[in-house]
Amino acid sequence: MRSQTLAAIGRRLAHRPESGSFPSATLSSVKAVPLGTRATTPPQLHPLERQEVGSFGAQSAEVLPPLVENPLLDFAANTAPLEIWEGTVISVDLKRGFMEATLDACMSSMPMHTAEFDLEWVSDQDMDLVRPGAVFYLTLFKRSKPSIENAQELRFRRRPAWTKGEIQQIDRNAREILKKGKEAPLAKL
Amino acid sequence: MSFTRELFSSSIVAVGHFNPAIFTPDWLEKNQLIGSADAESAREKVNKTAFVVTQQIATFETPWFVLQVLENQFSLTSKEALTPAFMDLGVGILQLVSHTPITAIGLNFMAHYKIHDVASYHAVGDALAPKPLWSPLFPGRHVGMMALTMKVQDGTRENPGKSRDYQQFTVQPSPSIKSGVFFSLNDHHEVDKEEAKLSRPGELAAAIIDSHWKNTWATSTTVFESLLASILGPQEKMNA
Repeated sequence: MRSQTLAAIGRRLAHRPESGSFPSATLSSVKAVPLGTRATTPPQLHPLERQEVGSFGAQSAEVLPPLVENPLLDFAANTAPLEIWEGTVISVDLKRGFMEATLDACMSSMPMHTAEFDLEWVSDQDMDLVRPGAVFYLTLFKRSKPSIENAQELRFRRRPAWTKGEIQQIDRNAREILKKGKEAPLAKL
Repeated sequence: MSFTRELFSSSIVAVGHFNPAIFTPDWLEKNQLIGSADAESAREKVNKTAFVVTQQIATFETPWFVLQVLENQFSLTSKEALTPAFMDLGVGILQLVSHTPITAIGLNFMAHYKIHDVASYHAVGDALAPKPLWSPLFPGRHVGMMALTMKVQDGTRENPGKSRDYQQFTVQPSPSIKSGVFFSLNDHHEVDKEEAKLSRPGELAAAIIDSHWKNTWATSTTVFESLLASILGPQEKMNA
């Protein structure tokens, strides 16, 4: 995913008079807003980061062991999301290389709005997913390591479709459950 | 503003009986759960996580997640920006292995907050683990809080609820952020055994993720930041 400024990510936001609930907005005006099974990567205290002060400080590298040991995983987060929009593709113009989409903020109460995206923002592996109705996530996030920077990512949603066999199985399961239920009582006048 | 969220991530953990050998990048790509670039990336030797797929273990990473499957545990951990696509991946994988006997799902969220002054940083530990209780026991010595875990479940102490689901919140000094606080939430869900007999346990597990993950994310942020706000005072902005 390319890293560009926030202002460059949307080409234009369109006001659609026929759908008054989609007021116009500019992405540049979007402000960052405040977004056993236990995680098996225990925070490991690095000697250089050991806290040495006060009552919250740790004087050793001891941490509580996780509920499920997982010595193979040793991964540390380096980002925090600032805002996430769930986008739905409205139209695609492959000739001009743009797609129009609605954007619904997931972490704030920002009103839904529309935007045009240059298809260069879509990764090659997601290009075959771009079609009207497709869902994507546009994420604005802060990266802390190796250096502090704001970045954004556009990723299309991937969910496997129901297979015929799965639907048939669901029908069978539903019939089984219904068999176990009692017949609904008839109202008597 | 006395605190800011610096790091945030999630992991989805499932307990059950898995066949690690099937969890390959190619398998995920073939089932359209990841793209070709991600599958190719998983096979690269430069990754921190070695690409290993055997009968006992499968582990690999892509730019946005790390997958590790053991015979009794499935673990998906986010990398880079966390988005609902991560949830979609977890749901999609478990739907594909719908017959796998899965007994429990853990939805985990982890956050590191930077506290902007030392006094406030210590105030967090002092509030959660009051030193007047400990210090008299160790005169002349320093006492500090290492970790605190709270378990939240239905019912009361006298009458616990029937549900075996629970949430565990943990607070620790952050190992990644100087003068930082680390929070984690483990939202534990049991897969109903009776329901699993009628339906496929993998699908039930996927449904748990689908119906709870976003709410658990919201809960984690609300609880973490409410705790800090209660101790440090209300914030004008919660996160920069």
